[in-house]
Amino acid sequence: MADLAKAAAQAQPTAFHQLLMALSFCRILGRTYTQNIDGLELKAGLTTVGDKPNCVQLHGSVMEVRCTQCNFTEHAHHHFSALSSGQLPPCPRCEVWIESRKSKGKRIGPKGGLLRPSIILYGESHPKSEDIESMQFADRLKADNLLVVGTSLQTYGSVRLIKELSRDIRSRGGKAYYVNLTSPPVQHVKCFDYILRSDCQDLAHRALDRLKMAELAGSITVDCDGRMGGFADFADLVNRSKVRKDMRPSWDWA
Amino acid sequence: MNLSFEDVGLVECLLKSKHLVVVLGMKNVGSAQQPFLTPLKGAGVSKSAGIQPFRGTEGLLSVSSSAGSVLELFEKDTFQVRGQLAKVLPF
Repeated sequence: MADLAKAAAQAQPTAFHQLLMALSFCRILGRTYTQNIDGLELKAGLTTVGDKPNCVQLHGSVMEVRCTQCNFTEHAHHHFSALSSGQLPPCPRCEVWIESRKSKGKRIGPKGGLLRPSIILYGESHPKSEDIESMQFADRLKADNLLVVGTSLQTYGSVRLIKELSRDIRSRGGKAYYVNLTSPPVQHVKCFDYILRSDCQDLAHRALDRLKMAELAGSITVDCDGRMGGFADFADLVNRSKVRKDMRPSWDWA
Repeated sequence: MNLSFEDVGLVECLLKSKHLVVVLGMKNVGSAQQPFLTPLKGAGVSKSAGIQPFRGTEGLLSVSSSAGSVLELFEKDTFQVRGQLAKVLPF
């Protein structure tokens, strides 16, 4: 798992991630629900915390570790060495709590928790399930368009999310788009107004070009709100996507 | 017929949105490389019946194809990673 987390830490966001960030700057993006655990959405600048979280990690993140008892969460890089050796490190918050109880002569109860990768496995509850349901409910009321990218619609939770969003959005006159290299399963075709068998990076480059033109023409307002991710400014964000013509992430093998 | 982005006005629609919702899967977000998914059944972790979405969520150990080399690493070490997970994660 440590190797996986290290590799994810070295990976860079793609043009599509940059598009999501640019749409966020332009106050177009309401929310991104991702099934990926590599955390590249956050590296691009989206956020899962604060008053307006614009990213929901449905399957958790390999970049974080979480206590098996108290749900204390922190970045995985603090524990790469322990995880590399196949051991789960003890939870620092539980250790402090146990020491505190010991010093007061109080009963300790169960042992402290261990820090495990913060990903969601079969049969597990999502630690933020209530927050996710609230956000999903809010999006069903507010969203005006839906873009589904790169999923074959095989998992129940994601399909339910997409069906509900699609139904509510389309009832208000919005559109539901599906972009993937393959077609969706037949039973889910009716969830979408348009199905495009294309590479989402192609879409990202086109949309970033249009955003750049719109920004230059003053027809959109860019509000970076101090969250620039790894970019100097909006122009840097839309221009940098041009560099990656092979549409693959760049790698820095340290 | 395979439609293009222009045919359906996708880019214009995105740019006119006020509250766009994007759902990202594990494929095609970065490269045309096929994703690697492991449902971990081989690790002795069984899927509970009747689970609610996001409570006992589907729980695929999913890796974005945007992290191309993560995929390669994972494909190479599939059984090793599954074994490690089964060993260290408390269920």
